[in-house]
Amino acid sequence: MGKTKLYTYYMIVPGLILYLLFYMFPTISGIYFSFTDWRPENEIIKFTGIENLRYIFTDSLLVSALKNTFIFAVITILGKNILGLLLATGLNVKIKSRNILRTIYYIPAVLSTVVIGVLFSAILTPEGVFNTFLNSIGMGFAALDWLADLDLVIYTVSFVAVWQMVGYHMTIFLSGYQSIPTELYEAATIDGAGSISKFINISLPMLVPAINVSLLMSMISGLNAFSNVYTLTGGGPADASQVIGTVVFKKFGEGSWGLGTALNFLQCFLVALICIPLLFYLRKKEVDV
Amino acid sequence: MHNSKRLAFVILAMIMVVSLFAGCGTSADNQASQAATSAASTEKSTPESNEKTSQASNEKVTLIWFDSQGAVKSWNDENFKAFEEKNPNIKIDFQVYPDNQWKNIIQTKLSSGSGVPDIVHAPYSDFQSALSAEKNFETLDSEPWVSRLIKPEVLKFNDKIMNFSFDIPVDTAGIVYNKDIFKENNISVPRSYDEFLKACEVIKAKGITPLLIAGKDAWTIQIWQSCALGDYQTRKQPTLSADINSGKQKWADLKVYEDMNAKLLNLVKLGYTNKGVLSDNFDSAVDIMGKKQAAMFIMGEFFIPMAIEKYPDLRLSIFPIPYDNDVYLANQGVSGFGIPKAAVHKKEAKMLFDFLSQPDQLERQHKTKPFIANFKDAKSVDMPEYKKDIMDDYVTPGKICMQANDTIYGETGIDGSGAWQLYQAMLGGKMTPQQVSEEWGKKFADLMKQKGIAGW
Repeated sequence: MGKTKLYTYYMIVPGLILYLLFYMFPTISGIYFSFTDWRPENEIIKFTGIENLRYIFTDSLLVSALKNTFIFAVITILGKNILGLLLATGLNVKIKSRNILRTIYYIPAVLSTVVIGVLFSAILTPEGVFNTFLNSIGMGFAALDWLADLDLVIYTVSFVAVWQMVGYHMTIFLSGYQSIPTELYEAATIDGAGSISKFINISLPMLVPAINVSLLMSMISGLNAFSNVYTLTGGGPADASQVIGTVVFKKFGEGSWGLGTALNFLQCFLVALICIPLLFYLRKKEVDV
Repeated sequence: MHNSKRLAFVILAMIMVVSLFAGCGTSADNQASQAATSAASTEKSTPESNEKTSQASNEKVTLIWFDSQGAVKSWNDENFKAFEEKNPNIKIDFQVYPDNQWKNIIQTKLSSGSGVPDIVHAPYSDFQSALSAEKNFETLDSEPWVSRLIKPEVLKFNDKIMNFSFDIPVDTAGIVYNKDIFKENNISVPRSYDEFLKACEVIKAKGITPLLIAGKDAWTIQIWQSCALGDYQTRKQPTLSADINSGKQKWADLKVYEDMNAKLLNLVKLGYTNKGVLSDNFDSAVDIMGKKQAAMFIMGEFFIPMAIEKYPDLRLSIFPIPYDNDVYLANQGVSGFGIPKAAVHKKEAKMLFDFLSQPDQLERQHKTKPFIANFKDAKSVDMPEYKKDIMDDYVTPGKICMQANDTIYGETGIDGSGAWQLYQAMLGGKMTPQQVSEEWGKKFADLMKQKGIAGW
């Protein structure tokens, strides 16, 4: 009673002001601007109601960008998690080269996305290294125009994104593996369980927290796709690889700031709509050790 | 006591916030305050007193030059080095912005009055429409170099000179071709689409790609349509820009537009183009043309000195887009420099213009990009072969027109690049020429509405 607290709640004021000024104010004003005709040449910004949203859902470019975003998200979520889990499982075994292999698989995750974009732009040209390799092993039929075929390009970009980040997700699963007590595997071995049985009945349930983290991270980055697409194709050719992120960038570049803000707001809303229920669902599946 | 403690905490909190801001913004703020101080002094003082002050104080000045990525390559650095050597207190800072963003960035700077550069480089059509030259830029009528201009009218807006430029604009685009390949195969410059197809057939038979399309960079494809529409407007429908911009002429009903797209697509279907029309880009074109792997290239004449610099034996020239018979060669409007009214260092920017207009500087600039000087005292320089061809075959006989980018889109400041992706889709087999016309018509209407153009 009467004892002076060292840290009073007034101490949160600086942080609160910064938070309100640099986070809440832009966010709330962003929501407002997404309902306006905000453009650089407009001296007066007019409220236009749901006009921007109507435009988003009727414009063929934006509809195609939404579709591409989901394709990119699905491929990268599956690719990063399935391959990441397989790599982690393989590299959790005691083999001499495992540390070197872990490092090799992780390296792309620390490379700049711009560097990866430039590298793969060269590798995936019709006369690039990848097609030369396919031709040399007698698979010339599979040597395609990976970044210029309008039907193929979004898949190519997605696979490059998987290649880049699979090592990162592998480390998440590896850390999950470290938390599984070895006694469980020993008991299973005594009971005569095989490798597949141990993986399904011990590893997978025990890895659920790691899987949850990995799934959520890959889902958020998949739905927020931008850098991989921008550096590899810029959303082209013919807008065939545009995703919401690159269209937002394009719309801002064109001066359609109101529309760009509306699209960005929609993207945030979509990420929240998908990820928050998923987060609650996945948490229920976690197993206490 | 309790209240005073509370007050102390609040004050302390406020000080922390203010110190954070101060810490974050030191360098930028210094620059801004310097600029503001300098601006204030420039505005209040006369040019004479300003000059004296500048010389007396030896104040360091940084001239901010605003440019776009594609255009900045056109300048000879030696000109600017020479200016900086002559004026050691002045430095030129090039701020270069992506081609698809510079227009909006400069519009924002001009309308907000924040971060306004000292010199803006832009096409004439943009000064006229998107940048509102008369509202935002200084009048340059009384500058010393104006009396030396051969054709002052190319720099005038409503009878006022608001731009500086080196040249009388002859900056054409069309089909860049290899003169040696044409000569070796007895091919003359095609004057119609049929003659063009025949030329392609002969070249293809020799194992050379007849026409290079660097379609990964969408801007290279649109040269075909921009030039062809420019010719159509000049020779067949002079009211085309006004008709389109007023909504009287719909894109979907403009048969010539559909036809010119169909003719371009036909070249791909006939195998007269490179295989990777959407995977080859502009950067790869110098080598492809230089190594004679392709005989022709849809491009602007600015490509020719670039290619010749790397392959000095290369003989390139240019002819009009052959979508019709006896087409005119398409030109671009003057690309000029303006000084914003809100610029901080107007006096120094004007000094730079005067410096660049001097005969020895014009000669120096000529080495980077040959041009026809707009100054009476410019030293006569030897025009390269391709420039002589352009002058003799098109400019002198008056067979020259403006590109649609300068006319149709230039008048309203609409970004016509929305059509470029449709051209890519067409060449990639995803759209027909008719669908391109319809889709561009819809996009164009949206852009006009968004821009608030009357009648849309």
